[in-house]
Amino acid sequence: MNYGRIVLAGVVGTFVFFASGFLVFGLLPLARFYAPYPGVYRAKDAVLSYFPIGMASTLVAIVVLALIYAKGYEGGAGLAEGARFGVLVGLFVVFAVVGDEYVTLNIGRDLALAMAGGRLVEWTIVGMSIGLVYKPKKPVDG
Amino acid sequence: MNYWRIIGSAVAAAVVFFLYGFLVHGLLIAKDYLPYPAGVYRGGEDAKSHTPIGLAGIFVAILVFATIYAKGNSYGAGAGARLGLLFGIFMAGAFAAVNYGTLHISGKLALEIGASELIEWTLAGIVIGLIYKRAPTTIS
Repeated sequence: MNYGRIVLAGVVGTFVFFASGFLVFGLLPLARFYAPYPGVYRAKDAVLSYFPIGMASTLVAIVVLALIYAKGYEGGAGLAEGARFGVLVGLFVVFAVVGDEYVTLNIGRDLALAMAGGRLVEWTIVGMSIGLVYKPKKPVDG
Repeated sequence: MNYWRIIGSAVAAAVVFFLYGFLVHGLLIAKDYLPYPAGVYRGGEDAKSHTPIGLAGIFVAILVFATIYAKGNSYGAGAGARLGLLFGIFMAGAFAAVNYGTLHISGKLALEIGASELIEWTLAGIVIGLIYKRAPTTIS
């Protein structure tokens, strides 16, 4: 495995994750689905104070995701293989995380559906970025 | 890929996953969810009525996990444990820690949920690694 590329793919994937998250959950109408649940979610200012923890943990998570991608790398075109991987991760997140949060948190179906759609798109894009950046080590001639 | 083995291993892993979840979240650390009954977490009948959706969702997630395992290059309990541990770290980092920043929960509960993610996905990986076998190749 090409560990340098794994770390680079993780860093790029993290930037892409936050950029797509800002677009999907911050700017699109999805943000309004969170508004009715102030008892569940922290206020925006409070969330900002926790932001460094969230950024660091997300970076670790996406480097690990790039490592999982590299372990299963099949040698195909990076973008397409990354997209397939991203869809699988997105489905995993939708069913393992959003499903669990819908069951345990005091949130409505509209917010759960918005989170499911947003996270599927978000993780697919992250998978594509990992696929574009990760390259296996070239075999040494000789 | 051996699709029947993917389904079989996911069923077995789901049983272990739910058993672990009941023992840890339902009994061992259940008291740590109690400070948040009115706002954050569902309670009583409301939680029970949503449980089937959660169980079905986790099963589909484990099926996806088993598919990613089957697409890989190494097999067996050790390989399953390694992949499960990686998924556990992913879940702890991307969701348990992030939820600590966005939900009205304590650091203690977030740490317990994060540690639990590591253990439950590693267990699921071991079970899948033990059961999944590649489809036999036909020699012409």
